[in-house]
Amino acid sequence: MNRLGDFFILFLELFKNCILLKTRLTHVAQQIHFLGNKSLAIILLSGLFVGLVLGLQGYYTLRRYGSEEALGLLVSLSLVRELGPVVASLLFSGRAGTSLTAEIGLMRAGEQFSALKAMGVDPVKRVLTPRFLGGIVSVPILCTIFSAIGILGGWLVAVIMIGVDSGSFWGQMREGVDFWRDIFNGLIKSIVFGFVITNIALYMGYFAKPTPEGVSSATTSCVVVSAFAILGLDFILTALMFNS
Amino acid sequence: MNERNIVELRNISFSYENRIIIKDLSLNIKDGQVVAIMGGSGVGKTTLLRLIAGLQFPLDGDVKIMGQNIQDLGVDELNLIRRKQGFLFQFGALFTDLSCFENVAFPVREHFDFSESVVKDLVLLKLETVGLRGAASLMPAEISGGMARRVALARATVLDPKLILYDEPFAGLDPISLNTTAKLIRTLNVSLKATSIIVTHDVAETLEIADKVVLLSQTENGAIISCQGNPNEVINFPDAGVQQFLKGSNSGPVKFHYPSTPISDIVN
Repeated sequence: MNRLGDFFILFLELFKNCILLKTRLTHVAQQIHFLGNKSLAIILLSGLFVGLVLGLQGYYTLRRYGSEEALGLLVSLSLVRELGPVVASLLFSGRAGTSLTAEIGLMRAGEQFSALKAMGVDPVKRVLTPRFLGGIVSVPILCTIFSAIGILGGWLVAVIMIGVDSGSFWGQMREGVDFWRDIFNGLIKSIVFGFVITNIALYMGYFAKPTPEGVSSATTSCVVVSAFAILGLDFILTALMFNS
Repeated sequence: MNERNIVELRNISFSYENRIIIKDLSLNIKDGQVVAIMGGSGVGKTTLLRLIAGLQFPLDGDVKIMGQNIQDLGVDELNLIRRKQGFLFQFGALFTDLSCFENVAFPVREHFDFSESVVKDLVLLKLETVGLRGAASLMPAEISGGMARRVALARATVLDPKLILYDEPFAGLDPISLNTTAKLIRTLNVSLKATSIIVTHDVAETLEIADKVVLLSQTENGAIISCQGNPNEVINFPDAGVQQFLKGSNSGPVKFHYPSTPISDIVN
């Protein structure tokens, strides 16, 4: 319970700092580059492969019912509603979340936070808040890119490899995907995941034991707890968003 | 040197979980002095320094810095006091992603909106003082531990603090760096009209530069001050434990071994 309390206190402090803009925009931009831009390669590659596999599996299933034209709809709905936010957030947590936890944990172990405090600088404002903002800006953008490249992968399989009609692929998608119900809800999911996994990564690092074992254990916990949080929250959000 | 107390500790106590580190300790440090806090390993010297810096708070008692009780201050007021202090950490605590130059410039950039040329002059001046102007562009991973501590000293003094706290400034230094650093601490204290508190084991160098020496010793109820005074008073203090520490002798009331069951009892 104490750890949960610390987690929410840190979250509220970071959220307050974001609302009051108690951080420098240059520091946030650096973190968007570090967390977002450097995660781009893994997001692009993974998104492409997920789209390719979705296209193939979708084709094998839809062929039984003679509905291959609906492949575009299947791929896009799967990606924008679920796989985009969930898989991209899991990848972000593995790529950038762990590096955040390790960086913060090592800063703590090296007394760098004590040094900041001794200089009259608040480490939460100076170090954690720009990273938090960087994470919550990067995750929705990466999720959107993941979905977009995934759809392109699905199109490659469906249209180029299998020979599904390109007009049907895009037309079914345009007809079946609703902006508010599907795309917007997917975006909301990715924003929620961005808040949660960035806070988990920062919390794990900030409260890590200042030893090599402590930092290593915190980094592992970051991935495990983030994965549970993403999958659990995804179920709750899906139930709330698509219940009708 | 005026007679105002810049640091006043009143009956402070501090524990880590169930282990009592400091119990009912009082200490005054006058403005302008170089004060050495000495004692065996694990006696609580660094904890005492962190309590003075406001990095930790006592469980009981009062810590007054520059006339203000730090437990009564809000975060912003405490940060204002901290800006008037410099803290040299035992291993430097440099920011590993910043160069030596940027490390020293960090407090200046955080607290002031000076032009880049002013920051550059100020930082290079401070690095020159510690003999590392030529290492300004190097990263902390590219310099030795002793050099890192000198960069950290430049960073700790870049805002011309009124109170400078040194945690083991001489540990791991070669004889030339050690002697130079000791003289630098004394010189900085005079030129900045500051007060310096040094936590150290290095008896010979410290007694040369200190105005006052505070010797801590361990008891079952936490650290106590076993003697304090000017270096001469401490050297001539008639206590076997104090003399054992100053002479580095292995025979005396202070035991080298951590308390344990005698081997004969285990065998029997």
